[in-house]
Parts: sequence; structure tokens; C-alpha cells
Amino acid sequence: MANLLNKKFFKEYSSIEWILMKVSLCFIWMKLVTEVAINSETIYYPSGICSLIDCSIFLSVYTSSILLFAAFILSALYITEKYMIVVTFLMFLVSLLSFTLEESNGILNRSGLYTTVFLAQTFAYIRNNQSLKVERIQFPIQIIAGGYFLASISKLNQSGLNWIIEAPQAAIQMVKGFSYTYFDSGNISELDKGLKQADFVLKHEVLVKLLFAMSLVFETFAWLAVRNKISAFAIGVLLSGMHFGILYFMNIFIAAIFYPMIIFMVNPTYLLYSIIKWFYQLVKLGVQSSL
Amino acid sequence: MLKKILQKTSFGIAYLLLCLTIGEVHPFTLLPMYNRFPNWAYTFYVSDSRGSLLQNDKYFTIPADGLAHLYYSICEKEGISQGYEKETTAELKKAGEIMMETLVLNPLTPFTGDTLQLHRVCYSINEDYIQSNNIIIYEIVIEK
Repeated sequence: MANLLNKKFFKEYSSIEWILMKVSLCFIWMKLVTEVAINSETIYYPSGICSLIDCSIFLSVYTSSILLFAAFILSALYITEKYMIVVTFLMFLVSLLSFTLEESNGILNRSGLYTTVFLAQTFAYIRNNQSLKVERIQFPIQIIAGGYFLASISKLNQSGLNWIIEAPQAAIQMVKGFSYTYFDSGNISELDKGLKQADFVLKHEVLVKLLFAMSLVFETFAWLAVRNKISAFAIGVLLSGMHFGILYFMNIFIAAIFYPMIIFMVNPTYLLYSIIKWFYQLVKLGVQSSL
Repeated sequence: MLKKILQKTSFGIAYLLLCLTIGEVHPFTLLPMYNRFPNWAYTFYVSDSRGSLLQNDKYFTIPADGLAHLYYSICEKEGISQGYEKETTAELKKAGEIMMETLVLNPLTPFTGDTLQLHRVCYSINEDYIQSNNIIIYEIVIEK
């Protein structure tokens, strides 16, 4: 536990921390890119670069296989820290193409943050100064914090404070979220669960308004994450709480925004590694003292 | 001091300004999800002729939330004003046709029935409870 609480943990990014961050990022990235490659079937709604070039060539089994293979090789090079300027830029391009294909299917998952973090890292590696170890993580955090701030601007611009006042109407979105799961799985109990959650919200309006006001504050002040590692961790924990709250009450998980945030700000795989390491040392000490 | 602040925020601010200027063009986005809570929400599902649900996980590559996204994208492209069940039957049929075409393009499991019906469910709050209205917006007969 000392490792978790010491000053170094909150100030510097260790090598193992950086590697685990990259492994997590690549694992999720590969999953998202693979889903797009498998599920993209049409270019009904050409957007972004797909409105400039004919993206239908990427819909065939061959081209999507090449794209997936390239993503796999790039991930391996990224994790092993090889040719980082070129690799992070190519990951940005693969991400740009994959998620634009998804959006051109009319499915707006808004994975912009995932794509842009790779470009931010390209800039960090081009700068290649003595702060590289911090900047390759801090630049993506800037993009993510900017994204959350944008989400709060969007709410205030569209609804103003009515976003909080009308929050109980989110009960409808809860039923919607749970009915998605019902339609996907065929499990009718999901719909019942949604109706119960919605009923709770309609009967506890003040609590709901308070929770929504808190989440708006978290999003607006996500900028504080850029300050240093400890502020990124604290904001990351608060934003994770917000996402888990949304998942529990609304059955809605905004994967493309949540994953980059938790990986760069909280780095749960490193937390898990630190806890296991601490536990292992504790057991080792116990065995030694008993001998 | 100012230099330090700029150094720690310049990329984020640049991304923010580009998003606000360019809008919804990947990798830029305005992140408008749930920025308002109107008194309506749509969901879509497919059933056979008896009204039995054909679950997306088993039959289609597009999940239920993706299907709703597709509907909004079609409405935007076709200039259909959406919400509060104000779409006309013709508009719903137009959107439903494109949605169904996309859905049946590459089914995960062959359909055993003879008809596929695309439903739209509209949820809204009536005083203090949630009500729903389910309509069939498009229907196709499967050629065997």
C-alpha cells in the first residue's frame, strides 16, 4: 500500500505504469477497431474523410483484414516503444479511418477522443524534450479534459440550467437504455429493471437534480486534470463515478469517451498491478517473519 | 506562469476550438449526447409477423442503440424533423426502409419466419409514469 500512497506514485509516471497504460489503450482500441471492421456494411451517410474519398473500398473482407492486421502490428510497435512518431501518427490515421467508417454507417459513437489522443502523442514525440515521459500522457489528458468541458458547454448551450431542472425527465432515457438491452438480448427483465429505475427517479426528483448538478460540475472542472498527475487521478476517479452512475441508472455506457479517460487519468491496470505487488510483498514478509 | 498554463492546456484548447468550429466531423465532435431531456425517446426493434422480438444479438450486426443512431442520421440526411411522434407515416416508411435494408444486409442467423416488422417505440412521461406507444413503421416479406 505504501507504493500506492508514496509521493512518487502521485508525481511521476514509472516505466511499468506507462507500459500498462499502452497495453490497456491498445487492447480497447483493437476491440473497437475490430468491431467497426466486422460491422461496417454500408456507407449510407458519408462523413469526414469518407465524404472526400470513396471509403467503400474498406468494406471488403480483404481491406478490413489488412486494416486490422495493420492495427495489430502498430499496437505491438506502440507497446514496445518503436518508431513512436510514425507509429502514433499511423494509429491516428487507422483510428480516423475506422471510426469515420462507423460514423458513415450512421452510427455516431463519437470516438473522437480516442483518435485524437494518438495525434497528441505524435506531437509529444516530435517535441521529444526532457518532459517527454510526462507530455506523452499529459497531452492526451488535455484532449480528454477538453472533451468533457465540451460536453458541459453543449449541455449549458442547449438547455442552460434547465438541464438540471428537467433532469427527472431523464427517466425516459433510462427506460430507453434498458430497452436497448432487452431488444439486444431478449431478456424482458431488463425492461422491467428500467421501468423500476425510472419510477425511482420520478419519485426522487431532488436527489436526481443534485446528482445531475454534480456531474455537470465534474465535466466543467475536468480541466483541472491537466494540472498534474494527482489532479488527473482525482478528476479521473470523479468522472469514473459519474460514468458508473450513468451505467447503473441509465444502462448507458459511453465507451469511446470513458476508456481513454480512465486509462490516462486513473490507469486501473497499474492500480491493480500495484495492489497485487503490495499484497505479494505483504505475504512474503509474513512468510519470512514466520520462519 | 502564463507560459506554464498555456503549455498545460494548449492542445486541449486547440482541440476544443476546432470542435466548436468544425462540429460533428470525426475526430471532432460537440459531444451533444444527453444535452437535453425532452419528453420523448425512441427505440427500434424487429419482430416477426406474430410480433415476437428478433433480438439484435442473435440476428443482426447492428445493436439496438446503433439502430436508433441510424434513424437519427437518416432523419438528418432526409430532412425529417424528429421527436414527439410528429413524423408522418411516409417519413417513417422512408426511414424504416433504409433501416431495414441495412439490418438485413448481413444477418447473423437466417430468419425462419416470412415477414420482418420494424417497430418504433416512443416513451414519454404522462404525469408521473412512463407510457409507451408501439407502431410498425416498415414491413418486408422475406423471399425464400
